[in-house]
Amino acid sequence: MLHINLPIICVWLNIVKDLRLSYGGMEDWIQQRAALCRQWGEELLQEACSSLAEEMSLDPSAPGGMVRYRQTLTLSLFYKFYLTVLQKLRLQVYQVQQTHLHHGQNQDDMVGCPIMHLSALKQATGEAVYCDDVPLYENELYLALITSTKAHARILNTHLEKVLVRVKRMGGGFGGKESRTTVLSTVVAVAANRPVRCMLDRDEDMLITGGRHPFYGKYKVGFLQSGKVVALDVSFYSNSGNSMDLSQIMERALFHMENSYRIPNVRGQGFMCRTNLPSNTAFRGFGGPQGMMVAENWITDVAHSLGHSPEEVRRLNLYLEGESTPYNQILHGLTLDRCWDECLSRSEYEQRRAAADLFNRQNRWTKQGLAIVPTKFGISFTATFLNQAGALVHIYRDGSVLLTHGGTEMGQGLHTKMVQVASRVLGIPCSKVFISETSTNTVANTSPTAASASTDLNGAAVQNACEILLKRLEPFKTKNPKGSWEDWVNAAYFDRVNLSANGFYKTPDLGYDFDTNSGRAFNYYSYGVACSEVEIDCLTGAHKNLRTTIVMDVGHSLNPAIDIGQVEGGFMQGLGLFTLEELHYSPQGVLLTRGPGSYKIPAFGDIPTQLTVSLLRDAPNEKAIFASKAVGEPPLFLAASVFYAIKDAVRAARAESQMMGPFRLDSPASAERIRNACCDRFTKLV
Amino acid sequence: MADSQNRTGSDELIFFVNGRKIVEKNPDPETTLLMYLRRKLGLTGTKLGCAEGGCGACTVMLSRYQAEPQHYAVNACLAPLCSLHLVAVTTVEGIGSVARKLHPVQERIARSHGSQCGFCTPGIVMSMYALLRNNPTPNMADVEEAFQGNLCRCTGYRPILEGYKTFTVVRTDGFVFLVSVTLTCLYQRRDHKLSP
Repeated sequence: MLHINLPIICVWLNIVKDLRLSYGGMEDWIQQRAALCRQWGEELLQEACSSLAEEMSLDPSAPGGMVRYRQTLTLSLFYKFYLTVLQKLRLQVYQVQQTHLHHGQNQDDMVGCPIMHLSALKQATGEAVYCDDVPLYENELYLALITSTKAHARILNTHLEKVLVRVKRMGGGFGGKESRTTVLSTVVAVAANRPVRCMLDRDEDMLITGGRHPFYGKYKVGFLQSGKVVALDVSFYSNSGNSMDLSQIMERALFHMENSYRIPNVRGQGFMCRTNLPSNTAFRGFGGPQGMMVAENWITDVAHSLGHSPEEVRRLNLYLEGESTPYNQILHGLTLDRCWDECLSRSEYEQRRAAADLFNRQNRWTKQGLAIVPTKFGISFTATFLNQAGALVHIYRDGSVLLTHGGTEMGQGLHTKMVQVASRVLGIPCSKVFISETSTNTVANTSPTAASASTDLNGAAVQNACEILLKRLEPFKTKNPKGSWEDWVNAAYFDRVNLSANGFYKTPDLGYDFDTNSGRAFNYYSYGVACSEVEIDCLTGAHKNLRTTIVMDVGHSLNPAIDIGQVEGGFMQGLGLFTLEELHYSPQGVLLTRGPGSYKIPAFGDIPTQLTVSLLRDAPNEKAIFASKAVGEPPLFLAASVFYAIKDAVRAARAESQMMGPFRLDSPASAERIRNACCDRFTKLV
Repeated sequence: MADSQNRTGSDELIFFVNGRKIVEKNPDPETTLLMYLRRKLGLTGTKLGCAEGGCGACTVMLSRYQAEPQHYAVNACLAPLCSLHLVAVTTVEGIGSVARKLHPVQERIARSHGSQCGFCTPGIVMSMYALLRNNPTPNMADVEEAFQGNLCRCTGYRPILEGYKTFTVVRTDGFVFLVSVTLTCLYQRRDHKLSP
């Protein structure tokens, strides 16, 4: 917090008799007292700023970091105050804007029926049971964690086949629960012969389980005067932490190094860096967002160095139907152009661009920015063997159907979609189909619920099992066409027909070989385009998300409500990634940000004032169940449109100081980074 | 106030949870309301998210009677059990259930797809419930303000606000209009029953 106290005693001549400034948040409370006896004007401002710059110094190792930003803020905040007073004295026209937020609004086109998430009501009443809600066993133990920078034991052999794992639901996953749970479960499997409970507190979880791999990208881009990109040489460096774990996210980063752009000559390299930090792991996007972020960075650089609009350069380089990726996969059923054109029109891009340019001409210290960004996300596990799934379906005599499949529920509505699939194939209402849990003794050798592919894989397995059962019931349907489902089931039962079936599915035609650079890496792609508008405060670096328009291709949606939930949720998570969330470490490598107080995820107030999400119509996907498409991870990257809108606004701010051409802005575009990038007279003083 | 404590003259902590009177003879001064609800009373609807009052997953409603009833939305993870003498606690289980009857605050967030993984949902339900107990006719700004202490990682917030917009009221020229949102799709498939 920085506060300024400034009494002006002599009013009618606008001369300052006494000036006292107090700043908090600069290590100690620092008070500066200067009697200036000046008129409230430019000279006073200059003197005040130079003496502030001199006196308000911070040690480079000051707790909380952000040294340059905080030093600059002392000047910026004083300047804002200076302008406020000046305006009150009616000496000039600069305005300090105060606006209030309005609630979000949404319009969506729905294809198919948006039934409610199966557990939604139970979740709203608190009756949904999560792991720690299981009642206490009398003889249970509690597992407490002691952290160390060195390993103290090695577990060599665990009889995996003898361990039964069951999960009813997870309160969110996002990738963090894909592999890091083994830190706890392995220990317990070896040591415990009584029930053991463990629930990681937020700070423990943030400290131990790792997160998304931070990336550093270096690139060289060759392009023509028109803005057409012809060559790319990119190297990615990932901060993998102390172990490999799921650091093969680098593969996916490389598979997305071109994002949605056609580049005839490409070299991509990935380096996984082992560091002295807890191992990083999977997180929604699995390296894709990181790779695409670097791509959007260089394409923006291309536009900035040519003086062309980034929107034009992106459009010029967008893939066309039938073109080939750097890993030799042909793009069939490309809907990028449709998404792009629809987003452009829905967002009223041309008008908004003109309005933002006008705003920027009229305002020096707040700037608006606009950006439209595409995404293409490959759907399949990059490890081919994981693209398989199983299902087990039982039909009971009362007509109810118990469905089990290899995927787990973490809020994404997978079970709801599986029930919808079963209900459609069997021709019965959803109310007759139940899912109890997922367990290793009902479906064996399951793949992780990941890669956004679980609906595709498990849905097809469920379809397979249900078709087998339907065939067995066929003769009883023919014999009694006017009968009910329960009649046919019972007739089959008394005729001793097997009413259980297991189903299986594996994605056909997959298998990319890195050595020969051939073979299909992905089954198909999900596409989307987003256009975002922001407003930045050039003096503090604060920003407001004004408006976002998303057009997403999810094929023929199995459940539009769930899919839109995934698009919005993924977008907001991306918004956090690219603008808010930052882990901070002490100079000794200790994690400082361990909870919502210091690590800021998006809150209610962070959603764009206007958020419009549309699902692309008439875009059936022949490659997946009932023409649908994967939707979990693809939308996350669309939040980069907010980042590049911020960059666009910063560019306008820099232009005021005659700073043109490409510039560096790292992610997240925090207030600190935005402020430092808007170079002006105050940042030059510090 | 002090006099009510002196009257009993004992170490008994008396409070109410969902209408049920609880008498704790020797309450542990280090126990939080959240731990007591979850472990002692088995009311696991209220969740532990961050244990620092930042995420709102532990939100419950406290009611005190001082001349007239006062209701507050509170972080149970930070509320010392011993601060609740003569206080009524309402948890998400106390306002409705699937078996008995859903409270509209529970039903509307579910039906408007404002709950994905559901872990934040009880906290958001209780924040909204406390708002409505204090202000039966809020406007949208009141609703947004009530949720400042609640975080959600899954939904992106829009459907929650959309669902709770149905509780808001818009005042124009002395007339009150109930803001209604078309929820036709949400009420289809009424035959759908819940699995256990």
